[in-house]
Amino acid sequence: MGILKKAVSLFLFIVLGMAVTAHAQEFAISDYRDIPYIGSRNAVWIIAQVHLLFAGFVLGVPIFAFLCELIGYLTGEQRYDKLAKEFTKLLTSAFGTTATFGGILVFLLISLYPKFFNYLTEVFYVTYLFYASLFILETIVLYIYWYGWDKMMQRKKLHLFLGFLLNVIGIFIMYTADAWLSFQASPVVLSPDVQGWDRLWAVIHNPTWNPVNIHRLIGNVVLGGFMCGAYAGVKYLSSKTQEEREHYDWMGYIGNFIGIFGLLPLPFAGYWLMREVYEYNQQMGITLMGGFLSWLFILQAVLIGTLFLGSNYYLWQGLIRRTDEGIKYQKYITIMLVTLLACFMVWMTPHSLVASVEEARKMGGTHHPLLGVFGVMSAKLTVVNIMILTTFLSFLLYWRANKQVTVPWAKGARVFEVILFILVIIGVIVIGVYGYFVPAVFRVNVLSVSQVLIVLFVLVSISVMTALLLRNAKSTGVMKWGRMTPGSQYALVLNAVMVVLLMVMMGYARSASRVHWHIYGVMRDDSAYGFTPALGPAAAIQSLSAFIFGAFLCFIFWVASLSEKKGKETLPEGTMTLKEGVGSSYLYKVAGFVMSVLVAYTGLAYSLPQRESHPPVEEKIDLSTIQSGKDIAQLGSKIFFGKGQCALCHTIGTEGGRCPNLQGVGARLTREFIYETLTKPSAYIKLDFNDPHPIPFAAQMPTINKPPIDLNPQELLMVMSFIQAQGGKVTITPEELLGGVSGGSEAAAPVSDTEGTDSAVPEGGVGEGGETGTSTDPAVVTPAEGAAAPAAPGGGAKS
Amino acid sequence: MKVALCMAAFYLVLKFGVKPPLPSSLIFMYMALVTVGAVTYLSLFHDIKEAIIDPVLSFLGGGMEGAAAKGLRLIVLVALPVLVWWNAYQRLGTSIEPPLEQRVIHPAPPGEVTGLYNPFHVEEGEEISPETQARIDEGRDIYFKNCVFCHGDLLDGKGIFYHGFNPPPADFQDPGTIAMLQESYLFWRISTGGIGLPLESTPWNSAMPRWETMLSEEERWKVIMFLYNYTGHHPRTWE
Repeated sequence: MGILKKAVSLFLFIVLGMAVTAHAQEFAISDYRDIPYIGSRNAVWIIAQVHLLFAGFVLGVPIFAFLCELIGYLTGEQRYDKLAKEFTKLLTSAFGTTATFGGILVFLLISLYPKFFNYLTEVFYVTYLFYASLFILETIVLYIYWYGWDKMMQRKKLHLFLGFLLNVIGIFIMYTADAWLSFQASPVVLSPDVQGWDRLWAVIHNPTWNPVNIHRLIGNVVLGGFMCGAYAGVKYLSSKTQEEREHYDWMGYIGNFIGIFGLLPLPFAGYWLMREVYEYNQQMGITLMGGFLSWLFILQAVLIGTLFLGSNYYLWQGLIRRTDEGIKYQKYITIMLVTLLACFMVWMTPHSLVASVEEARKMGGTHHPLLGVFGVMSAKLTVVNIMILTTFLSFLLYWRANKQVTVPWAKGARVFEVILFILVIIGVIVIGVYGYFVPAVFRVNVLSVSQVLIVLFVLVSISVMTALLLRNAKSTGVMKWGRMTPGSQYALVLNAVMVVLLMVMMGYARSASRVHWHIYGVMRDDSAYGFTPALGPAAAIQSLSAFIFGAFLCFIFWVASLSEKKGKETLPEGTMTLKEGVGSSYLYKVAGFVMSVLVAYTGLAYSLPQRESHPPVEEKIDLSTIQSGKDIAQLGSKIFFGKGQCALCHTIGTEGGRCPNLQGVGARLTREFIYETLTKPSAYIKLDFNDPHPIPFAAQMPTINKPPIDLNPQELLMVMSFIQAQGGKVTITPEELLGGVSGGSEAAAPVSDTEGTDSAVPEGGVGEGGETGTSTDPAVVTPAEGAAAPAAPGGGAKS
Repeated sequence: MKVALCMAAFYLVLKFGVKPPLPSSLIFMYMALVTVGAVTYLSLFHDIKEAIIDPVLSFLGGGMEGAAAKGLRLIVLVALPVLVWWNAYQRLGTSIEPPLEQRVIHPAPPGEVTGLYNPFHVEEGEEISPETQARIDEGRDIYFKNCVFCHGDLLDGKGIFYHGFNPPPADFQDPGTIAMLQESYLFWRISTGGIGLPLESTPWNSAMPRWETMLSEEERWKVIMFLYNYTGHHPRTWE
């Protein structure tokens, strides 16, 4: 008997074991896969980054080429046309590389992050098709644009239109991709009742989509301009004839000009993006600006400051070398240099300083009582505005060099300009100082915006005035190209490296601000790489990405130059040749220079505080501590603010949330109604009273007991008791809650009914809320409901 | 020459002119920038080779004649290796200084805190009702029973235990502390204390106790009201 028993249990054990493994094998769909040694996150990171840099290049260069071609067409200067063509040639090969990296990225995402990619596809699959068709269109237009260049010389307008079309398609491609990534950072609520095109538009038009679009569009212009500058710089250094030198000197000037042109408005666009991030979710905003990532902004200050310094340096060099009497600008240049450096210092000063214990003791904390004032936003925005103004001034000097103004009102204009500049700089500083004495809201919404508007006003008005001033101006000399020092060409290369590093670094910042989420507040990153790396290791990967990008770009430049090498061997008679053997050694020098900049950047990042950000540990709920309804509500608050993600949209007591304020709702909502809104959010049609004719709309709330939030019946009861506790009496009892655990009681049964039929009302619930079937159709709105509802039309999509 | 003098003057101002003294990390940063500026200036208006490299080479290589130049050369040639040795010795030797303070001072609050709301909240500029005043008084009592020892009787972070702590207790009078934060943030810091800081802020660094085990929720809100009322600051708002 005993043996039989043992045999049976052994048999059962084996069968059950097999069943379990079979079950596991059949349904083992991994959420994550890993690449040994490299790590799945690093692989995706690097490939995505290189893809993005190429994408920026491929989108930025057409804007640049189109502008140059347009200028060439309008002014009739052939060299602009030549420049545009030279860059379009690079496009064709860069385009293929971009697509290749994009393809690798998609494969990596599908294989390494299947759960996440599946979700994204579920939401966005229509845009995938749209994206693919845009890509085909872009390819066609690009090839016609490039191969038809010479053929269409006589039909320039048509060709220009093609260039315009190329850019429009490119912008749409970028906007589509921006929707995917901005959705990850600021997702909108997917309610089951908003379907089809409405839903698609809601997820595309999420709160940070537009700021990201604008920021990237301007950023691409900057990238295109400075990449052109760097290309010209290298070519200049390696040119063998004076003629080549002059051409590449001029090209570098144009690249730098367009780069600065884009750089000036870029901080404003970045500021807007930051504001939208804060508005969307302040936790994300604090992570970026005050918390874990705050040190990163010191790095950002170094990079942008260097960029400003580098491009100004190039302008000053141009002023000194290309004009005959450049040395007369020494005084102005020195003043501008000192101004820039002073602003740079203020910008770089961190709020909390790295100090040893003794030093901190002397300062009375990590904030310096005097210099601490430089550490906050008000000071930083002020100096950025002054740096922008200074750069504009450098540019003005350059613009007006070698020209004698002939218009009669020249003197008045000059006085006016000087006064305006002084006034504006004083004004910007006064506003900045005033910013210390007002609440943050006022500073962010009023003061910063007015600073920006003042500076923009100056940029535009002085530009227009100078253009008028210089009409019919007498020329006192021509720009002498090809006389620049090697140092200025390195400045061009440095600028390009800075722009690339900035893009790479802020990519890290944007991703890191999501902390441990794939899709913020919706899908958690449960992989081994859910943590955020510290600045140093992150900078190493960023530098590696930048290096890979640079290496591929060099390859593309080299491939593009293969076709034109033939004619170069025999120089025409009488050409002035420069020092022999100059060309190749400069290439190594430039490569070494770029490498040392990357290493220096990584080293700088390692010298800052190294902190990783780890996902919070989820608290285990201890049911044995529950004594009363109040305890349940206490646990419910944890779920409300934690796993349930309710607080991402709902506020309690404060206005400004994206969804109704839940203060005091417990007093006016029945338990049945609460249950129904959680499990069938669209059962009631609300009215939007913002409009004179109230518009009915379904609540934009996810079903709480279904994925991705997916609360279990017990958790649902806890949340309900928390809602009831908002001004009302908790009617959920501990027995009911604990009974739910055994699975036999009535409390759990209706909640687990995922279909949400009419019977799905918790115990004791045949009240007025019971007839859910009828309440769906008419606009059942109580005044109290209506008052709460207008805050929510379209969820976060419209805010 | 002029440039070198400017740099030296700036360094002296930074080192001795600013009270209280600046940490060396900041001075290093500023000097690095000034050096960049000097090189920029020289390369703009002079030939770097002529202005710097050639004189240095000629000085070290014996291009300059005279006893003064000879003696100076000798001093530099001896002093340079000694400086390198001294620096290496300093770096390798063990010091009694604790490692550099590198914590995130102002970490982002966890999501479950950002939505919290002070049940007794008073709008800025709103008249203080007798009930509110009673709550503030209650908060004052709680403060002087519990918090005063570290944060001080003037709320300036200089309590009697102040000298023992690193980081020092928060100075609520400083406009850079509670005036920049929301009430919910304070509630979080008071409730979970140093132990509740996220990893990047190194929990063992702050000596702040976990008050949620000692004060009720309402008591914590009342203390917060007292902090704002006494200092005259107002909590940060977002809308």
